[in-house]
Amino acid sequence: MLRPSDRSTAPPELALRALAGLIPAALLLLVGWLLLPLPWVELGVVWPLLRGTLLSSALALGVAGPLGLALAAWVAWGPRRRLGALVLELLAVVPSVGLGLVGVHLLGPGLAALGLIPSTGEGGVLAGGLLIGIGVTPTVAAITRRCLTRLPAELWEAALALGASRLQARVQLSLRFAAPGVAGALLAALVRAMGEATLVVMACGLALPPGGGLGGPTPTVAGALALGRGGAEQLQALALLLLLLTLPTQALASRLVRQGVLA
Amino acid sequence: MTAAELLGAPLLVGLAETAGMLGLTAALALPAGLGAALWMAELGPPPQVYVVRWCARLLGAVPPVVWGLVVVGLAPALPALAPLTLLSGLALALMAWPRFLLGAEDALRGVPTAQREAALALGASRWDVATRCVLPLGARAVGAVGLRVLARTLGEAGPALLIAAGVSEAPGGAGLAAVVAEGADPATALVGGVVLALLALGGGLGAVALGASAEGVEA
Repeated sequence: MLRPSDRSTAPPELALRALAGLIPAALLLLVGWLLLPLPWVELGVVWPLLRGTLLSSALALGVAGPLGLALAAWVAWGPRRRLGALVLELLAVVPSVGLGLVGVHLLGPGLAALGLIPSTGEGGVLAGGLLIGIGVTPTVAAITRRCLTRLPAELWEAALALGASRLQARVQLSLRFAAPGVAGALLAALVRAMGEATLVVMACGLALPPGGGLGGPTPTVAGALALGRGGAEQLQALALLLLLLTLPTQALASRLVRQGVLA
Repeated sequence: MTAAELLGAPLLVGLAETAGMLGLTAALALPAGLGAALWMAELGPPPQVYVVRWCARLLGAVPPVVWGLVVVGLAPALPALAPLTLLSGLALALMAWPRFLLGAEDALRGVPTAQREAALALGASRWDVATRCVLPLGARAVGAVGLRVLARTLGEAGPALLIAAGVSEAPGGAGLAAVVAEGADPATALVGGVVLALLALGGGLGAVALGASAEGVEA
């Protein structure tokens, strides 16, 4: 008897398989291409950039963490969930350059006028960090929501049957089960934040001649890379550094999210 | 400055370039991503699919500017004087490919199992199930993912800026997003940013209209 699976290795299927095989090949090629010439760059060049990246990413997580969790809680549990889902969906497509304009014209000058951030030096990176936080909020919210809504119904009902209030069940059951997923969501947001170049370039006014825009020469690794100044070797070293920062973090994040979703 | 000047050359040219980049991204990333996603969701043996998905997650996490550098590295191998628009579109396609693939796989897996079982019970091969049952039923969700991914590429200026700096001899511009990000002319930048934001929001609304749940926003 011919089972359906016996007939499945048709030529078109092989083509699709080859397409899928391009993914691992592309990853290997990318890492190999960056790694092979062993690009080297002076620590003096990298250190301020790394500092900018860490500063802006930490700030971004500080913004995206609470905002994203609140948004996820709204979409998963709150009133008017469909509206929450719409807000999340639209927030996810807000273009970086749009956020950047908000930073250049409103947030940066506003915060500087209030004296909350220095108007030169690291002010641009700080304003950039806040904006990146808004930009990566959907990542936190979407992953967290997915983890929050995967709680088996039996556990939820058991908790209510034992006399827990809905709030107790949400905090002590759903959140606890989703905890690895929430950690993964924050790490995934960190990856996006570290790689964000558009916002940093705009908020720091880097593309303008010196003196234009907010702040001076304190960009991030991704921002410096986007401007493409410096030799090919230095750019390659910066890209490699960026991958070293993002890829292990993403691997860890994927693992945690899987745990959170399957829990 | 009058409205005619504002809507003048840089804005329209940038918009045309952005449209070209978007078209190239759609032409490259969507078919490649959909084919691979179909294989991953329906046909591939789970261990191989696991490896591909793991790699796709990492590729999706590669910052867009790094794809810009890759294209700068590739530029000498491409036909001489490939316009900047094409190069930037290529970088955006590389960026969008793994993200679309992951979302599309998710969307295809969302097709109810009962539909597959019904098709199998009627004697369909796995290839038939994938192409004639799962693909049509998942098309709307896949379309929503595609719209969302394309909308996200609209505002991405990092790769375009890097390519414009790295392949300076290439003709043409690098799209509206780069014009906005450079901000050389504040008025054009402002209007351009608003136009891009409206276009992206339109894409997002389209995704919602196609029934996107907020589930797949993760990319």
